[in-house]
Parts: sequence; C-alpha cells; structure tokens
Amino acid sequence: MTTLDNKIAYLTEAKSQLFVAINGILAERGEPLLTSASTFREYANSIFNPLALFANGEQGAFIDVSQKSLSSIRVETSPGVPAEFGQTVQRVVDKLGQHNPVQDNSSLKPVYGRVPVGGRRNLWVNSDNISTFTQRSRIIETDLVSPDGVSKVYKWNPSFKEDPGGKSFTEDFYRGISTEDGDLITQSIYVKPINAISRYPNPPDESEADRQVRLTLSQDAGEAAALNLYTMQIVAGADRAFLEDLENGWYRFSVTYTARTDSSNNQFFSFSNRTTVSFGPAPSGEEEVLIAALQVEYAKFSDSPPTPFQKVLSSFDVYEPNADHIEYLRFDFVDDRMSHTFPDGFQGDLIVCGTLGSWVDENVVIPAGGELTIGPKNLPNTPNILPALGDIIGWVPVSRTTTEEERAAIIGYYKKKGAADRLTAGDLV
Amino acid sequence: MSTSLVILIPASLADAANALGNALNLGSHNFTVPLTAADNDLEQPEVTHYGLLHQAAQPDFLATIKAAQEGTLPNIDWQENGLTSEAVAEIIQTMTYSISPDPDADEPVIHASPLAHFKHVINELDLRINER
Repeated sequence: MTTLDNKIAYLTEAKSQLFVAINGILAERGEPLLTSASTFREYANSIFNPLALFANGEQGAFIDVSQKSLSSIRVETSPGVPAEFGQTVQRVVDKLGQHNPVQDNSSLKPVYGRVPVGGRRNLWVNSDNISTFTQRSRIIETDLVSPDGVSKVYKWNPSFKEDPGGKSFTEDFYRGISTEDGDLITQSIYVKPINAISRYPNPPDESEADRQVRLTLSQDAGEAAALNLYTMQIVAGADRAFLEDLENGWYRFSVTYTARTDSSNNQFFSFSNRTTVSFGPAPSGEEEVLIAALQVEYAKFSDSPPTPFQKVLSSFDVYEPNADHIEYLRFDFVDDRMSHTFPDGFQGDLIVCGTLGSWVDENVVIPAGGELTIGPKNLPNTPNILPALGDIIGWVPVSRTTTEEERAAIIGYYKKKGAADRLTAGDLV
Repeated sequence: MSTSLVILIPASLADAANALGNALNLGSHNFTVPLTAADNDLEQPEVTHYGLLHQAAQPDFLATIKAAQEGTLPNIDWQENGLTSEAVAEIIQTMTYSISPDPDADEPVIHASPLAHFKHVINELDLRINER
C-alpha cells in the first residue's frame, strides 16, 4: 500500500471509531442515532466547539468539568488521578493543552460534584443504608438488586412475639429530618413481601382487616398510612398514601403528611402484626420483607406522590437512575479558588458558566507570569459575582474581544451541560 | 456524608500554621481568610486571625487533628519544615477547630452549607471577614 492509501485507511478507521463512539453517547442520552454520512455531517455542523475560538492562535483555555464529552480525564484530585464526585480538585485539564487551572492548597480546592437535572429532592444522605437509621428491628443487608438498580436491598426480618396484651407486636426503625411546622413531607420505601401473614389461617376473609401484618409509615407515633402486606391494600391513610406496583413483587409505598415540630421529627417505618382481642393474641413467628430506597422529600400537595428515588452519597454526589446529571465545581465563596498561570500574559474576555447564571468578564488583563483566578467570590474584573453564578460548569478565557455571537455560542455550549443564561449588571441589582 | 472543616488561628501564628500545613502535604498557603473584630469599624481594621474553610475534609486528616489535640503529633521532622514540636503543639492548642456535622456533639448543629458553617464559627467569636 502507498503512503496515501495508509492515510486514507487510517482516516477511515478513525471516522468509524468516532461514528461508533458518538452513537454510543447518543444512545445513552436517548437521542436519535447517526445513520449515514449526511446525518453525521449535519450533527457535526450543529455542535459549537469552543476550540474554534482559538483557530487563529489565540491564547487562553477551555475548561469543561463535564464528563459527558469524549475526553476521559479532565478533573483531577491530584495530577493524573481523576477526581470522584465529592472529592476536592487539584487540577482541571485545559482542553487546549495550554493553561491548566490548579490549586495546591487543600482547603482552597473546590469540590467536584454531580446532581440530577432538577436538583436534589431526597433530604436524607445515604438513605439506602439502613445503618444510618436507628433500628429496633432485625434488618440484614442482602446482595439483591433493587428495582432502580442502585439502592441496597435489606431483609427486614422481625421476630414477632406473642403480645401479652393480645393486640399487636411492633418492630421499627427511624431517622429524623429538620422540618418546620406546616412542611409537607412525603416518605417512601420500596417493599417486597416474601413471607407475610402466612401464619394466619384463612386470609383474606371478613376478619382480614383485623388480622394483618402491616407496614406503617409515620412521623413519630402518629400513624400516617399503613399497608396490609398480605393483600397489598392500603388500610390506613388511603387519602394521603400511594402504592405503586414496580413489578417482580416489588411495590413503592408512600405517604404525604404535614410535619409537626412538637414531635421529634423522626420518620418511622414500622412493621407490626395485629389482631383483635376476639381473635386472641397475635401469634409468634417470623416474617420476611425486602426493603430498599428509603426517601423523604418535601411535597407540594397533601396528596403528592413520591418522586423517583435519589441516591445521595453526600451533598456533592446525588444520583438518580435514568436522569440527566449536571457535573460541576463547587466553590465555597470563602477561600476556594483556581488559578491559571500565563507566562506571556493575557488580555481578552473570560466567559464563566454556572448553574445559576453565566457571565462575560470583559477585557481581562493579566501581566506576563501573572495568574488568572476564579474565586473565592470574584472574577478578575467583577467582584462578588461567583455566588450569583452558582456551581461552575466551565469557563473560557480567550485572548481577544469576543463577538456577541461567540459569547452566545459559548454559553449555549455550557447550557447543554446545565449552565444558566447570561447575567448582566442589571440582573445583579 | 461530607464534613466541612473550619480552622481559625491567631494572626501571629499564621505563618507557622501555614508551615504546618505544608509539612502535612496540604499546601503552604491554607490560612488565607483575614478576620477582624466584628465591632471594629475602622477603614483598615487590625487582622486578628486567619481562617480556612475546607468543604470536604478527609477522615484521615480529621483523625490526624484529633490525635494532635490529644497530644499525639504526626511523625514528621518539624525542623526540616521550619518548625519545632513546641510550636506545633502551640498551634494545635491555640487554634479554633470546628467540623460539621460533629459526631461528638451532644446536639449537633446542622448548617445549610460550608459557608454557613464558617460564618457560624466566626460569629461565635465576634469576628468578621476583613474584606480588604
């Protein structure tokens, strides 16, 4: 083969690999796939790439903390080591390869985070980890997979004993949140009965309502809603409770109620066997129920259903299956900052894009050997602007005056990754 | 769960505290927030303290601090870092140290954000950030 043949073969192979890679990303996003050379060309033309700003040898940087694009390592906790969500960031790799912003001081590093589009709703951190709850019951972790595929599954295995009072026996676990009087709270759990009420002789019959193994969701002692785990019928609080069939024997049970601050603000998950005196004491025995994906969230209405489960590993790492996520750097607005060093100096525009707003810092001048710094609250020409921009998704310094069309295109690029519209001085008054 | 960390140090010990941070491989310039008495309205008020805020402190670092407060310093050649063990002990004993959430607190205070945590700590000491 000639050298030209080799080059053509190489380019053809590279194009094929790019084609497959882009289709993989589009498939993950649920977007239409590229099916031909023409759709490939149209797609390429529709994408604004900030790299185009530097076509004439301009100096600057292209900082994008989102992992959604094709490059692999850009946000690092130490040189060459990718940061995980919730970790502090020592360096972000400039996609131009010119000027990486860095921060070597531990307490001055921003944190790399992610959050589903629409924000965090689950008020509990690690709510799928039962060890974060106060347990007054026997709960065992399993290696089973929950319907959402991300939360841990536990076997709730209370050992009921005969109640001398003859009415019921209850085991429970609970955890609190900080609420105010009048807050509407939705409390939810995945549940899959394995062996419930099997010791009762002829369920269901006319006495079934009085003889049941039930799951109760509540704030403190006040019963909010209860579910009969044999019939899978809501037996209390039906006007404020929801039961969703998740298939394969799994259900999601939830209730919405008004929080009271005269109580301890604990959310209870109670498992009880109940009977009436006329049927004699509740029998002893063991039940088995699988549980997962516990969540508490604010509700808008008294009959609000729960929103999809969110796995909250920390305030910086919120994950929701089947949702798009925003990846960001969070500055603390006290001392966090990242700086680029410009050995030859810099003069031009700086466009910074965040989840609350985007900003164009015009005519930034950095002397030779000086640093262009983002943070703690300031941009080079605009003090106290960073809090108004929220979590930062990326920024682009380019060593010339940018056109309004270019500024809109840059902000449009970051808006696809979760940034908000451009702010102006008038927005800040 | 992320733990935010606030440390305040008297201004006279700021250089030594930064040297201590450097000896612990945390960087040489962590105490960067100048603080002044909240009721000092002078145009150029005296900086009495320097502070730092770490949004996501690592458990091993928190364990190091806790051990130091209890008298066990890390095994480091302090002199090589421009320090003495006495100076390190003085920093550890003098600094104001707060973590949130605090697992050892009887009634842990829940802060809305690391920034709120920092403001809470400096307010408790009647300090404010010196916005020079």
